[in-house]
Amino acid sequence: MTHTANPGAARIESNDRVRGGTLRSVEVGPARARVSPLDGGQTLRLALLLALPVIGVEQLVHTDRPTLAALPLYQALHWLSDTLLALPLAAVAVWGGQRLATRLRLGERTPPAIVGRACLIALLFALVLVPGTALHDAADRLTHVHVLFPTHSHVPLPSRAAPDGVTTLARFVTHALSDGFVGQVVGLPLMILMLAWEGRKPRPEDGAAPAKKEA
Amino acid sequence: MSTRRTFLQLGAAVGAGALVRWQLDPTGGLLFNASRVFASVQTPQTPLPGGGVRQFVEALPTFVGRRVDDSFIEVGMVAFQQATLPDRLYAGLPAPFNAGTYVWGYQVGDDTRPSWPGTTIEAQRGRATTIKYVNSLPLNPVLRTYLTIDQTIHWADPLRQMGSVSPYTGPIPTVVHLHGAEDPSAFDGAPEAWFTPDGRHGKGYSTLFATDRNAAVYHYHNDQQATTLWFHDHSLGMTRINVFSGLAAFYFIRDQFDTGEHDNSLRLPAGNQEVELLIQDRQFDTNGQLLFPDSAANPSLVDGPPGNPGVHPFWIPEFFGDVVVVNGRSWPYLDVEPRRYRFRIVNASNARFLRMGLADSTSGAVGPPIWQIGTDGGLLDRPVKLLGLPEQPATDPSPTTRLFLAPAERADVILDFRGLFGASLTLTNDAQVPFPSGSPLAASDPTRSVMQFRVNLPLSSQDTTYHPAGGAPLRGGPNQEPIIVRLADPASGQPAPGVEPSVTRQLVLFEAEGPTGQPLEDLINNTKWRGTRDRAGNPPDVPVPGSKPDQFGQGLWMTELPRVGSTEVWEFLNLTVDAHPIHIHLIQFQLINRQAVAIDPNTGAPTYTAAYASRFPGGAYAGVRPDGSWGLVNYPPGMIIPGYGPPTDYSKPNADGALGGNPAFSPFLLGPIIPPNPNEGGWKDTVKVFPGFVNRFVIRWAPQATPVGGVQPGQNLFSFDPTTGPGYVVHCHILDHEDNEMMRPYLPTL
Repeated sequence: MTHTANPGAARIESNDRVRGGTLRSVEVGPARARVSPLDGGQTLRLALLLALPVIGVEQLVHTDRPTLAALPLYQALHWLSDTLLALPLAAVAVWGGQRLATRLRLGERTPPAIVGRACLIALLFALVLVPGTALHDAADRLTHVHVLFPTHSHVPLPSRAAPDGVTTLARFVTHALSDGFVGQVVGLPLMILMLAWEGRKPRPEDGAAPAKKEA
Repeated sequence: MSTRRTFLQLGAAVGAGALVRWQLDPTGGLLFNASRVFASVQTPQTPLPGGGVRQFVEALPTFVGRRVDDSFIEVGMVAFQQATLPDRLYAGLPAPFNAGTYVWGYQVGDDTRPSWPGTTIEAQRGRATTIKYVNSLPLNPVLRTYLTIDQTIHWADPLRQMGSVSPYTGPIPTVVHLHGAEDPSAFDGAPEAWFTPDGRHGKGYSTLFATDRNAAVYHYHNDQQATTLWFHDHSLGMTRINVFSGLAAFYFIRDQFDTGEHDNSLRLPAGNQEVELLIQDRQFDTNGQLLFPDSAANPSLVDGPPGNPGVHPFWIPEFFGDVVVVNGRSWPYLDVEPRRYRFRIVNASNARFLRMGLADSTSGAVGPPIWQIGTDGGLLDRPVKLLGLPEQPATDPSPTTRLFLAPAERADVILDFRGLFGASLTLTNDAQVPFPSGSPLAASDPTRSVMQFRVNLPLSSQDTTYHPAGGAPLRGGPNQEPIIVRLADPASGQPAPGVEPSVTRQLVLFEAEGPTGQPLEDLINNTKWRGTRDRAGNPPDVPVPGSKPDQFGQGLWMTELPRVGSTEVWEFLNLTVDAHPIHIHLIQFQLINRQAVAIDPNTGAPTYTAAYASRFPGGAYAGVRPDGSWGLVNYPPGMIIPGYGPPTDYSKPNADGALGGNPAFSPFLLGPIIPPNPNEGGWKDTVKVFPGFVNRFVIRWAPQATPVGGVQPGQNLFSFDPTTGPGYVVHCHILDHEDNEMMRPYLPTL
């Protein structure tokens, strides 16, 4: 995890046991820290602004128009609850995307760098939404939110042939991933805008090292 | 910002999300119920207390002199506004409500205006009537915004949204059933034969000849005896809404005796003295608009909000209103002369039973008797005197002194107002809701009154009409219909001599309930409309053993396949707590008797129920789980599986030799057989099936007039082929039950 108490010399701890095998610390200088914005508040802000539209798009995709029109307050609350429940996943995507971008030496102010960062975050969010979909379905089952839709078989449901587990899993992952990417139609542009906005903000270290050109 | 704080914030967000989600739970979440109040398709409504509506201030609308008797008639289904409540109430409302209540109704013929109920049709026996029914309802009718159409019940579903939690917002499906008619199933108004204003059709759709996409042409042979029929909507899962909205009207069959003219050979009152009364209960809002309960915001007056919102979010088990409406007008009055009048009455309520008498409006004293001269299928042999005496609320089919009508039952009655000039008489009602398990009506309950007769018109001519107190026969004499062909002897409560039923069926009425004890659905022989065991689609549903698929492509499985020309006895054992008016299409039948079954003093349920349950083998089938959600449930052996069908093969006779797949009834019978009440001893198409009783019908698939022994199994004496088409149905005529699975298809066979 990240400690940013000393912005001038961030101390990054990693528990990456694949390469190092043991907990190790990496000291980075001010310039490295500046392109690795791992501030918790910022992460949460970005995560919320990522989750809200992406979850909203997914809800729109999966809800027929009459249903949306029928119970608008219910739909809004559903959107809110899904967004809040997905916030940790979005935070992971933001944090992970930023960290990956830093490792890839992407800056945070030039348009290509911002787009690259945003793409990484969007990609990560789409990926984490795959297990997120399973969690979402579990939450729905627990709270019966969709119980009326798929299981009430007064409706002549089509018979479900029982495919093998691998096929079922593959279908689920494909579906969830596709949903995740669809959501990024809105999430990605917003993330680009947000990163550009965040990149324009003056940083504490900007006073010490103004106008330093990115590599 | 610290990592700890970030985690705390994330945790708080997840907690808040979980809390919101928890309270969105449709099985009881506060936010779910709150959000439904703001449902955009519903119009917020404030109930108008029925007790605050003035009674007897508007005249009864009648159809005297306006009935339509053409041989080809176009009947449109249209939306319009009609003054139903007192005029003064509308006068105080803003536009558009001051123009009346939004309703749907029939426009019968070219020369009439649409009305609720529609203008009466008069058909002549032996002369066919062809009717083009046209669904001309708007695609987005105003009234639909007041009606929450639940799509989780098995219904017509024009937009293929069945199962959706959303109220339906598409074109309204309709189809017309001529109730009590002997007619081909293609023109019987099969539930799947619906059609919409924009031309969508159900799988059972039929028409005499090609017509507009939003229409169907039906051809009625009118071969049966003169009687009081009525036509009403019958679309699958939508009947309660469409009839509630006004789609109902009378259809008289006349013959050479009962002509409707003053000089009729029966000397029955005619002209201004023959009046139809279509009685219903309704609920209204403070804008004078219909209110159909659907939620915690608009709960049912008797049952409260929907009892199983996790399964059926808007469906209520029975609609009971607090305003009585006769011929589309609340608590009307009728000015009458001091003479005899003939009233053709139908209880067209969704669920309310009516037990009626006459009382002096001022003193409350018991008024003159009601003389019943006819039932669903025609005249009785002799009139039956109903004293109208107040009775203790009946919990069983005890003889009644009152005119007791379940939904869809009709009565042909004579009221004798002679010698009562200056009096006002109230037609009263004291049937508990629901019947009989509900509490007696409170003294202040506005539904204790139905309408008022004011004997204030001067006698226009001497009354020489038939005098029922004289007891003269109505049938069997010169210039009269022959006496009723007796399939059952109403005096002994046994099948009539010479009647040899070829098949006996024993069928069980059962109510499936959710975990809170609220009704989920009622079932005939524990079988749903489709006739399949519901396994939530995985593995595929399987047909009830002993059933056969319908040949019309409706996806239905039929268990009742009687041979045309045959005579059968159908025994209904009602295991629910309320009476169900069972209606069988195509034929008029007769009630043989009723007989109580033993009751378990510990549970209050028939002892049969435990024996019945013990036959179920257990297994995983769709149902309501303990938490109120719908899905696969593992039923242990010995537990009734709702929708499973009977516990054993339908087609294998039980120890009583009866089909139906149920344990024999006879070991559980207790007490004597109870013959039909005197006013039930005629032709019936709808009979009250009382709880805790075996109710026995004798049914013959042949025209009414066929003498006993005059037809053999396999012989078709109808003037049409009843073995083809989408088929007929048997169902409970509590419309809210009929719409939610308490209906089964059937088809006579060769």
